Amino acid sequence: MIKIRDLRVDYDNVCAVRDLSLEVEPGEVCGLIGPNGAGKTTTMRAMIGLIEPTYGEINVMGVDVRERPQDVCRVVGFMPDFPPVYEDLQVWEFLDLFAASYGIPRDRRPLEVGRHLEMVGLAEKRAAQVVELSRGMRQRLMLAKTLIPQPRALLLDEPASGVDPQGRIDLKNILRRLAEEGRTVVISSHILAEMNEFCTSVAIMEQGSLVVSGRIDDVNRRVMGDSLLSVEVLGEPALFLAVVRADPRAGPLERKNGAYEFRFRGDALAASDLLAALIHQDVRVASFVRRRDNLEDLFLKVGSRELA
Amino acid sequence: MSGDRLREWLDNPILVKHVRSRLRKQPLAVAIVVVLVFCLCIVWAGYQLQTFATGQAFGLLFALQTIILVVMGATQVGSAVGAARASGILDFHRVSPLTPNELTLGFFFGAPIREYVLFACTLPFSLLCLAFGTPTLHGFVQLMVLLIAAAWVFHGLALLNALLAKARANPRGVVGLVIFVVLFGGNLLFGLRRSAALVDMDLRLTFYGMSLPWLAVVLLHISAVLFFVFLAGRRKMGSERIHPLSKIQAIAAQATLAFLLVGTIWRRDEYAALEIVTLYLLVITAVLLILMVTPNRAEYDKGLWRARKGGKSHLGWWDDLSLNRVFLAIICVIVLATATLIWNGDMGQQASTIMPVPTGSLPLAIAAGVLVVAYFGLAHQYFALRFGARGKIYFGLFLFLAWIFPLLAGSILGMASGPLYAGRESEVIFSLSPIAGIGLTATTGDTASFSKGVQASAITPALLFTFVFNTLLVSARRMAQRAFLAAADSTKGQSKEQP
Repeated sequence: MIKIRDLRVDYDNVCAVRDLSLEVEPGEVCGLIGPNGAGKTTTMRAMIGLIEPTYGEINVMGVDVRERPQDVCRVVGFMPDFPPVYEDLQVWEFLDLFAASYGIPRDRRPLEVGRHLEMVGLAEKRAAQVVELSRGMRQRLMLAKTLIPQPRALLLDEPASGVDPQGRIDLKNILRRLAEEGRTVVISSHILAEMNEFCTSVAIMEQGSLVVSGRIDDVNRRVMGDSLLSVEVLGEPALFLAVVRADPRAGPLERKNGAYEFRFRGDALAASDLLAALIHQDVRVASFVRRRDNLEDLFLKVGSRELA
Repeated sequence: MSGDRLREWLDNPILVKHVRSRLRKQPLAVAIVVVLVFCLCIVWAGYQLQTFATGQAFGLLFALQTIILVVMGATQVGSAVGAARASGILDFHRVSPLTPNELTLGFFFGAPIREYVLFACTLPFSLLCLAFGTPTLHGFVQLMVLLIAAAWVFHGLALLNALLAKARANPRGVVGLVIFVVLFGGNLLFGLRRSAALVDMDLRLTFYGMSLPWLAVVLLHISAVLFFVFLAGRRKMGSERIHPLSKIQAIAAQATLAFLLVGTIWRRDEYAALEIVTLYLLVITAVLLILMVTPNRAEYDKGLWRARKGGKSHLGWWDDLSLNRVFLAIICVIVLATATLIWNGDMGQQASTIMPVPTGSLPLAIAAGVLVVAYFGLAHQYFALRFGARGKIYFGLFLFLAWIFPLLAGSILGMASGPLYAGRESEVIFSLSPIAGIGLTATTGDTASFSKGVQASAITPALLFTFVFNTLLVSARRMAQRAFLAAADSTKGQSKEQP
């Protein structure tokens, strides 16, 4: 579990993070979202102990970052947005360096290095010089480096930037698997559509402050207040319109791409009740889709409200 | 050291990384061939010119070894640390379980690993010189110990410099090496050619009156420097945003230097002018330490936030984020006490036989030195607190006007006055700058008609600046605290407004 309380970080005359409190449960993939300069990277760097906060408490997997910084790095893996590498090493030597840094015994290192190269799809580049790798490959190498010590929590800052589509799919699968294994992942990215697919919770930052955080459904409910229903009906829509307009939980209707879309203040059960009512009234429903707003919508809504 | 401990130490990942990257067969072979060719040329020249017996062939080899180990090695350490820092990979090491000690030692011994191999390649040629009788085995061992110790000091300084300097993506190590060789290569070669003759004289030095071999005294000084350089390097290796030395460590460094200086020139009346050199050394060290420990405005504010969170109005005086005033007072006391002790220790001694005894006012020079340290620290703290990031520029301007400008003005006046009058008004103006003022106050004798003017112009600005900057610092501190309280209140208001 990651627990941050009253975190404040100041740079030269700039307050980068202001009294931020955040909790991320084990097994959660938390998307840290915000515009440039919101304080996402600073928060991550403070979580790993790279930046000493002005004040505040950070506890990662039961380890206090300020009191036991040497222990924090054993439980957390950090991957920055731009992957720094030693260009004068070979790919396997680079991973071996970090395997040794994390105390993996000498005889186990070749196995671990091979396994992680395989995992990120760089097995063929094992003996290549790091300088020869493309940006995306370096990003994969960095991911392998981050995973090699088997961290219980992962902090990934823009991990998909520069990675090709196949690499993004691989990354997505790796993250899903890590979350299934019970590891806590905090990930910041500007590609909100992709984060939407694997984030279970979200923390939206704006100008150094946390605007909203929690599980995506909860945040959605709090911020958007409802879900979006998209219904396609066959034949005359009058009956359908009457049923929907009679339901107090339904918002104004809008016709989009041949379907009716409207906001609906209710959970999945309430939506199924509405569908049952429609069928009961002999409305010929061709499709009935309940859609939660994605992170992009959420971010835009929270951001615009905050800026306003 | 047991076998396991040694194996564990050699398994330092940073060391291993450098062994891999810097000892790749092809580039290493090329470097070895170049060095061997150089060595063969020296030995062949020694044989042809019969300079083995005079020690000149060995001296040339020693110069080559110095360039390889000291100059090239330090360049490598600086480049390796600078590049790791600029690329951001040093941050990865910082958040790995590697301790700052392991990191520092890994870069310290790993980065110049090729230079150690190249140095080892030159050793058989040195031993060949030994076979011809110059230097003796004793002298050879002394020189090698000195060379390695000096190399470590330079490597340590290069490492610290790389950690302190502005991070650059492409360190200018090679450019620095070329400049060094062009500027100092000739003198280095000339001096080192005579090294063999020097060590065979079996020189002895005194330390608090005890007669010790010269190498022991030199190593004592080198180990102290190395210790504090390593300490600073280790701290910076652990964290980017930390002062290289804490206030306590800086005081310990100044006190250690004072202890060593007093011990080395204790009752050495034949070198009476060393008192002035010592005073300068004390002042320069104090100035460097002040630069290391003085917090800037952002750090001071951070300290206020932290103190407020802890329910205090400000942090303790020894905290890195606290003002430097108490530290400054202690440093001034150390400079004053050490210089006075040396002065009193030499009083009543016989006249100097090698270097002239100062005929001016040494107590006044000591006072000027202490005041210079005081106002330098106060001014640095004031500019940092009052002007924030721009403070460095204003402080630099102040130093230029107070320290450099009088030297320029004095030089121009000296040249304009002609040879007959040169040295009167110009010396008075020179003395306005502490760079010349401390020395001139101590050496311009009472017989000189302008000696009072020299002394007055050395002490007056120092006194004035100390008073002015002390007053300004008090007001700047109040201003900073008011600004902080306003910011803290507004933050409190904002957090109350939040649901």
